[in-house]
Amino acid sequence: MNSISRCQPLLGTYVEITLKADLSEDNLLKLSTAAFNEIERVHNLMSFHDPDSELSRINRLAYQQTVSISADMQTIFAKALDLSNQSAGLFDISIASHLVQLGILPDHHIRVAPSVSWRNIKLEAKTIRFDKPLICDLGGIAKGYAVDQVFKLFAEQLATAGFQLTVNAGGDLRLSHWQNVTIAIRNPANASTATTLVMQAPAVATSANYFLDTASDMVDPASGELITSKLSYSVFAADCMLADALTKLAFLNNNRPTCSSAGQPALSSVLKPARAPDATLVSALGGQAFCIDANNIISCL
Amino acid sequence: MKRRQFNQHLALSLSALLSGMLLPVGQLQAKNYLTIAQAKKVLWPEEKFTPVAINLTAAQMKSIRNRTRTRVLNPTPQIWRTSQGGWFIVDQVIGKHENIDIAYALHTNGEVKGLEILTYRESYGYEVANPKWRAQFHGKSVDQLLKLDQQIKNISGATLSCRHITDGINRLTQIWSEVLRHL
Repeated sequence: MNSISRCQPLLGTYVEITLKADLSEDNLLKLSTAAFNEIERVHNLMSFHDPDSELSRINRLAYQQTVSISADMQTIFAKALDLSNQSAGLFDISIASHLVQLGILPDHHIRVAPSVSWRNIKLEAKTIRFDKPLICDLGGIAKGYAVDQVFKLFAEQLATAGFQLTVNAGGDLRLSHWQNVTIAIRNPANASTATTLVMQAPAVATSANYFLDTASDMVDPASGELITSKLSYSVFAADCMLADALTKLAFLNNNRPTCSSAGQPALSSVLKPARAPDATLVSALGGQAFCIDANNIISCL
Repeated sequence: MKRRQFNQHLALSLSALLSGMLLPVGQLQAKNYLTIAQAKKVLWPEEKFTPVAINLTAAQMKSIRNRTRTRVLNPTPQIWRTSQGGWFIVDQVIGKHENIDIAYALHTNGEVKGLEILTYRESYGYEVANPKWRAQFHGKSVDQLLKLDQQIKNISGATLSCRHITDGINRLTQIWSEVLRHL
């Protein structure tokens, strides 16, 4: 068995790919290059920052005309809208204009109506249209999608015994051999320390604010306000796109004063069982959420 | 949540909880990726390499700093010229949370062909700004710095921006413009 581990700056973060297989080093290098090319392809489609990306083209044109979209965009918009629908709008990719106003995303000078939501996004087979002027950001879901695409690219190899793949896109992590694997989750109050969790599913993602220059990059879709929680939320799920998106739901749902019946999640060393509606939302959508506080105390949502 | 589902949930969560031991990821979590030889193969396949020794003068370092607004940390970056006239350069980039070694490939005309991160070290607080602390990494294997449990290879956490990579690219293209293109 040979293994190779590589790291590239993509998707706005450091993406690490590890391949382990009964192949020559040259072959592993070639496969890892193919994997990074696939991530770069997704990056080029879905970047909000790049004015030439497919997403930017949709943001510029979809209010004026019906826009043809790629199969990747079809998949990711369908999933995003499905999650919006199932979370009563708590997950909403149309919050981009708030992030632009707050200086978190760059301003491409696209006019946006004052009150818009995911309901104004009309996705058809292979086309998209906005019925109000709005802009979307895929920052809450695209990294997970890109990770999953690498697994799709290697579907054939992964079906053979002994081919092992790990992709970690800035904390959005998926493993081919995940059973009984222990991972580290950073402490939100001191990111150079961590606690550990055993993988509960093939993918995990984490949302927290500690690496930001701004206080937060999470906006409550209802109020447009930043949520500045000091807690860290991790969600395990069958694929990374779902894990990525559900961390936002876990984060928002538990930090939204109007939504959570019991307010902030009670953190104690005693395991707090699920409380409606906080916990059921993420688990009903296929994820398993954990919250970690400054004392490395884990509570299961 | 149904009772059975809840029990399953609880059991899984308990197993996760029991594993929740405290762990120092760093002061230094460090990872080695490709070696210089592997990075050469990826960035310039089929090429031969000749080392090029440069020693940036104080004036050149000042000029590069002024033009790129990035500090020049090392006056003697490791540079190779390929048989076709391209460049392979290994340099260090220091971000707010990270300190990384990067191999860059530049075309003959100074355009960036590609890059490869060779080593990633976490770094927090004042150590990064301290030249003695940085010097300890020069030419050293990072294996002995790894404090994270060897069994635990993966970390999940908030997304760390990679924008400092741009500083390194700007600095390297400026070094090309001031020095390498005249060689």
